[in-house]
Amino acid sequence: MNNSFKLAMVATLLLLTTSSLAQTDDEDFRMTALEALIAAPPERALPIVEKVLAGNHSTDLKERALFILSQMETPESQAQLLAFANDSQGGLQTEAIRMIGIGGDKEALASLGQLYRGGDANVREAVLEAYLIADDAAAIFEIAANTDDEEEFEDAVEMLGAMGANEQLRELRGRNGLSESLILALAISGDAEAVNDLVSIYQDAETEEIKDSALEGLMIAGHDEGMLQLYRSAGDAADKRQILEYLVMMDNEAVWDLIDSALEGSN
Amino acid sequence: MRPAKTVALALLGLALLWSAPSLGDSDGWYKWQVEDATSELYVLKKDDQPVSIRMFNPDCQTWGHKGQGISGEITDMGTLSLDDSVTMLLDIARSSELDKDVREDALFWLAQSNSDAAYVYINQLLFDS
Repeated sequence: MNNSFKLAMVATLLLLTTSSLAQTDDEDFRMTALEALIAAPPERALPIVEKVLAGNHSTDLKERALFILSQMETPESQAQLLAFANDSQGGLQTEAIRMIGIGGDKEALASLGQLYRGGDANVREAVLEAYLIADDAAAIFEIAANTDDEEEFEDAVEMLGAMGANEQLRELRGRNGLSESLILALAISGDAEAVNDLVSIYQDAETEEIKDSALEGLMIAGHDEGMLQLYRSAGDAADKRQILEYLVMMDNEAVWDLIDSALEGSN
Repeated sequence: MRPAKTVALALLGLALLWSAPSLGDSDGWYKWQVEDATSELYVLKKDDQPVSIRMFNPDCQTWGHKGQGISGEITDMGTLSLDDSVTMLLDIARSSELDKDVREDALFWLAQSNSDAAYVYINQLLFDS
């Protein structure tokens, strides 16, 4: 390779890099222009945001446009967001759904129920997230209460647990009885009454799965006393060993005395 | 004919530059009361260039100057029409040689100005490039 050719190559690379950097700067500046609309008069901002969403722009820019739309809090902007959530596909559709959650408009949130029922797994997940963001436990309860799909039920219940929706979880327990996912959700929700119930849930359990979930729930809730109570009352050696393992994982102070006692065969 | 065109373009450029209110000579914050908008426009000059822009209106006065990052001596530049304030912000936003942060500041306040000229520029940025 001669020097002239090398120089030409370097020059070309430099030109390409400079051009690419300039394009990045342009895109950043376009993004800033769009973000600036967040506090702009809606009648000015809405037509621009709509044009961005309808045009041939990058996904990043369109996602930002959806966020701006969610913050406008006008009936027109919420209608536009919902229309986009209904009519688009893929990542932008799920983003629009999440933005409805961020916007928190009650009517738009209520409309997501229909989208959930007709949507694929990604849409359903996005709708649940939107409800989570909007802290709409009642809407998630409706999904959990009306589904026959076990996975769907688990997803909804898990979300209710994360939201600390004790009332809805208790209602589901009353309607559907106990399941592994419901036990864990009750523990995650931090419902003191439900956590105390885990001891009797374990003792009355008819399946190993429910017993395991009760122990896991006690561990998640950090309920050492309940776990110790179960250890002391357990008659079966295998059960005792399993509970002891949980106590070790919980780093319980009494666990070493219990292990010593177990080794000495006095307990 | 070509020299005449060049001179004409140079004069036009100068005229455009001249149209924007200018900052003083020294570094520091410059303040204008913007007419018709009940706002105060603050521009920080450093090393002969605008580097930061703030806008106050009665709604955000409670933040105070320090809360908005304004400190030190402030030179009062009197009043400025809304159009002139938009012209100043447009000049800063368009100046690719300036720091990106100050151009973004200008862009933000342009969007709040509700001015046709500002929105023509924002539309150009988003759809004509």
